[in-house]
Amino acid sequence: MDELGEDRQVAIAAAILKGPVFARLDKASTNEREMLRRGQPNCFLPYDRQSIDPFRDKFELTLRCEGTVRGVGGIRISGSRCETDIAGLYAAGDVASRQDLMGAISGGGGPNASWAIASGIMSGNAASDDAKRKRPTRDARSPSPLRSIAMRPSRQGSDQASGKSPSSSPTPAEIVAAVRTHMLPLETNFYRSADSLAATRASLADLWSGLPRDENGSERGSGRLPVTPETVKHREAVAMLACARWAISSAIVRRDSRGMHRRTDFPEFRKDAPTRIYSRGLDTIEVSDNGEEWSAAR
Amino acid sequence: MIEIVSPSRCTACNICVRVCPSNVFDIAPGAPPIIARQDDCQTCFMCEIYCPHDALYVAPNAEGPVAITEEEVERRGLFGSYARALGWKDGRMGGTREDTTWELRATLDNRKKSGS
Repeated sequence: MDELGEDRQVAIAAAILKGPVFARLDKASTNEREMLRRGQPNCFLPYDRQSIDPFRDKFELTLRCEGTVRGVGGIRISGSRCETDIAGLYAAGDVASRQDLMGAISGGGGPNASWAIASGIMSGNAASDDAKRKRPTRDARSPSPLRSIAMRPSRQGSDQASGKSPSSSPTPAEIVAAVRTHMLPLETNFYRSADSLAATRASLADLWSGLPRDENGSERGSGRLPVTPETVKHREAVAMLACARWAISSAIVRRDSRGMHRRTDFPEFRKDAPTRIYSRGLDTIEVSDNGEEWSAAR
Repeated sequence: MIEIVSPSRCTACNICVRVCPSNVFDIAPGAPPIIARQDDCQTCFMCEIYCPHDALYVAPNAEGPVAITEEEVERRGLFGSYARALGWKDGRMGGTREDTTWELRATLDNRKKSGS
């Protein structure tokens, strides 16, 4: 087993694909049990509340997604104060890419918590310096549609673009459920291959083209849109789908294996492969291995 | 997911409403907050540990609601149990000095060195 427990995750994933996997922590000494409990109360909470003694009882294991889903990917940071490529926009925490801190693995609790605090302070200071210098523009105060994607699910016949009936416009819960269906299975996203990634990409593209369109959305500042819990939930679901599309588009062009990205068709780490992969775009996604020259994702 | 806001413990201070990152609660004037959008709960336990009166219970199952009553939570001593395990008190942060993780690392490193 390597230092990061990478072999352990691979062994567990392989076993889970064959059937249920159980564990118990019976090799820990009495002293270690006490230290584990005191140092990691969060880990013991699920056991305690379900009346499981993890040092004695067997409990079932599952794997949770990290990497491009959570923990590594995020908005590209372009400076030392958590700046992004959009003037006045700063990113912090899980939203901000911490690839420069952690590379191709997730940081886990320690680095991720440190990053949340550090990036929060850096971005907060930078944003407040910004705010002191200039007044917000109209765009900064009122949200506008993301290109042609509507701010809310369509209710009446505003869906001509996709040729579908209004009732086929997916709800936020349906969008989230569909993204989970494509992004969570170990078969397609713990182990990736050109074929599985192409299939996921096509499914996500279908989902995207089925989103409700806003006819006026492509015009900047076309009417002030109210921010309601409904529009926030819709935007969150759409953003989740966009992130899934970026993750898969990036994974397709990363033709080696490293960290949490495991390609069955390119199982080796390649030193000459690009260090970073960037992706951007909504209706059309572009990828880049240097953040400067972009090409359409295929 | 958030399961219980205990009416007998809650003082309607609404701290849980403010710390919730996914807007699960609605304020009810002069009464305990209402769990209005349980499905939106991320099971992050923030509301529970920030509650100064140990009035909330979050079940560890993040995928859906579970059947648990206030009586059972009370009987099993689960109200405030996570805050106590962390070393938080009255909704305030604490317990960092009790963290033994650094010691555990040394123990595991020694075990590796001695090859057992």
